[in-house]
Amino acid sequence: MKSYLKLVNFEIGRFMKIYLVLIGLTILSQLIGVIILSKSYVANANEAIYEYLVPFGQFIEEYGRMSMMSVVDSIWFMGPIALCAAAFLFYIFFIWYRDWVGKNTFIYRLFMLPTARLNVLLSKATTIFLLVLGLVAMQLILLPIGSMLMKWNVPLDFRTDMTIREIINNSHYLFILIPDSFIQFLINYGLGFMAVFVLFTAILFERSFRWKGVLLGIVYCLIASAIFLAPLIYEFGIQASFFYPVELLIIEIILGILVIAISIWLSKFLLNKKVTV
Amino acid sequence: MRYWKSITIIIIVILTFGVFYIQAAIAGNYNPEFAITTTSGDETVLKNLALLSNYQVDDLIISTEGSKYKEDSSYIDLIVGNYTNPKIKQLQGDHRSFMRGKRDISGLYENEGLLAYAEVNFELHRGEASDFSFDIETLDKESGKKTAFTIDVPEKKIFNYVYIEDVRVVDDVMKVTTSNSVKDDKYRTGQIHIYHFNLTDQKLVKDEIIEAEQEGMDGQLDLVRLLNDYEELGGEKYLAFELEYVEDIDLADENLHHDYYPEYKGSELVVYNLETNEQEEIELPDELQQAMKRIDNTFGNIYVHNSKLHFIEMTDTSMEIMVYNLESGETDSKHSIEIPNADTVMQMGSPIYKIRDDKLYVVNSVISRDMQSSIIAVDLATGDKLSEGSLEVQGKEKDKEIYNLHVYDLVIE
Repeated sequence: MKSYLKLVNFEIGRFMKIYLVLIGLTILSQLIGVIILSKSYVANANEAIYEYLVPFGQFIEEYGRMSMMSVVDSIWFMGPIALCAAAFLFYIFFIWYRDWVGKNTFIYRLFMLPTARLNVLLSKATTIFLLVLGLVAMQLILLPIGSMLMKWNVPLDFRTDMTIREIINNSHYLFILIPDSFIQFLINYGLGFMAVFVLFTAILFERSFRWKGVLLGIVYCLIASAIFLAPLIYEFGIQASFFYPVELLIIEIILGILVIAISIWLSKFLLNKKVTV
Repeated sequence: MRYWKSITIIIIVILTFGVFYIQAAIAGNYNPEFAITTTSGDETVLKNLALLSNYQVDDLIISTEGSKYKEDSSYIDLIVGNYTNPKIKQLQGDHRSFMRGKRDISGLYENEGLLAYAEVNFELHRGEASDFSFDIETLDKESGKKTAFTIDVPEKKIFNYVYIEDVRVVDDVMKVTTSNSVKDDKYRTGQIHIYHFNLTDQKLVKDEIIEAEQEGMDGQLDLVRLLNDYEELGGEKYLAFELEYVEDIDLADENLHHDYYPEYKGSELVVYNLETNEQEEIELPDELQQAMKRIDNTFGNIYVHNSKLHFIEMTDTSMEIMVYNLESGETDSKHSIEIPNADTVMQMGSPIYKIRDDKLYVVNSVISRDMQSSIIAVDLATGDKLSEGSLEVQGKEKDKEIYNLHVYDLVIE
């Protein structure tokens, strides 16, 4: 247990610099975005009302009120989120391959540690998971700050104030990251966790058998998806709607746990018996 | 502290999400809570009503107990996407295995001893349906014995689609009413078929089309409509069809504007007796003939209930109900019920009507905050108003601005 915690802390430390850069970029881009969009809206309103003498009512009718929705759907907001998502997708692979590059391959030292090799995998998965949640938590903190900045910049009559939940539920994508209900939250991130374990297994296939392993890895991903999606393919494929929704939910939870278990078991086998350093 | 980086991240994550989800649980929905309250009359009548409605962008169900927003429902409810009809829910509870995959209430039939289901199966190829067949299943409630068989739709090649409107079983013969669209029909009127299946032999014994002689009716048949309540699964002796006629225009005429809609000319009523298998054109008394014409242009409707046709019509001040008895061929009764602010109600769209157990329920489709008696229940036998109800905003949202509520269906449990 202790060595696992040590490894987690170590992995987090290794990614800290890039992580802080991602956080910094997100904060800057989103907050600057709020200010720029608010100011340009107000400037636009001023021009229309004072220079072109458009009545207030007509202006609102044409341009709508300013709200966090126009901020959240802008590139200022979505850009850094997409960047972070891409970075983590990349890091799922890089967290392994960085240990193999360089002169003294670091993985050699990791494997020589007096602890189960599986702990290396578990610590890497935990790291990815924790850091992703950390980013989403930061997003959750940034939303009220952004809201407040908009309130300072746009007069009351020109804006629609929304609560954090309203912003999230009305946006096209935020509700996936931060779902309304806690159960949905567990399901969404459980799915993500499962995907990480499947990809890790595929990576270990490649590390074990090199080129042949790439093929094995891809095949494994397909099999894992097929197992997990089997009931849904059956349901929607032949439009049978054989299962009741509750049954479907329970089956999917069991299959998800099954896929995670198979992935961990296979990874353990590969780490102990097949991986080449 | 050696682990400070990890510990900081863990604390931030737990605190942020913890606060967010706990707050969400405490605060509940940001939308107002509605409830049906009886303003006058019998309080028990409105107890079993549920309004399927829409507030702003959210779906909710309102009853006398209060309201339930879709977000509040469990994740399991959300996957199904739709609200399940209470009748289907009850059948799923009683006959869990038989009801698997049966979600279309139009295809269901039920009496004391039998539960039956018909479904149309087809192949989809490049967006075109073909190869239609009927899947028919029955369940003997007493013995639990199930039967199932499949029969091709006769002349299946000439149809674009076959859609089930109604299913009945009389003396071991299943009568499946379908609305079929014919491929080469330039008017796209469609045909209403009634297919008869012998459940013992598992054979198709008859295929008939609902038609009218079109006497004294100029114009082109535009639409055939089944007037029976889709939620009524068995017991009714008659199926009633309204055949709507519109002016006959040449669709190929290039001078016509592309979205020109031909003018409504009039309707005919055809009644199908499920016991004798006879279809009959109904000669309505003049008064009802006039009412039917008005109903087609205003917010009213015609319903079949207990072998009677109910003509319901809204005027500026009242609701007119005329009952035509299909057995005797005479007008049974006429009632006029005073509706406060009927004119403003009418401006907001057609009310929703439902008849159940000789009671007529009327609900406005758009309900504003101050609207009184937006829900009315009437005794069809006497024409008396049984109770009136309105929507009440509950809880802390009381003083907030309340937008209009849109009701899209009324369910009687």
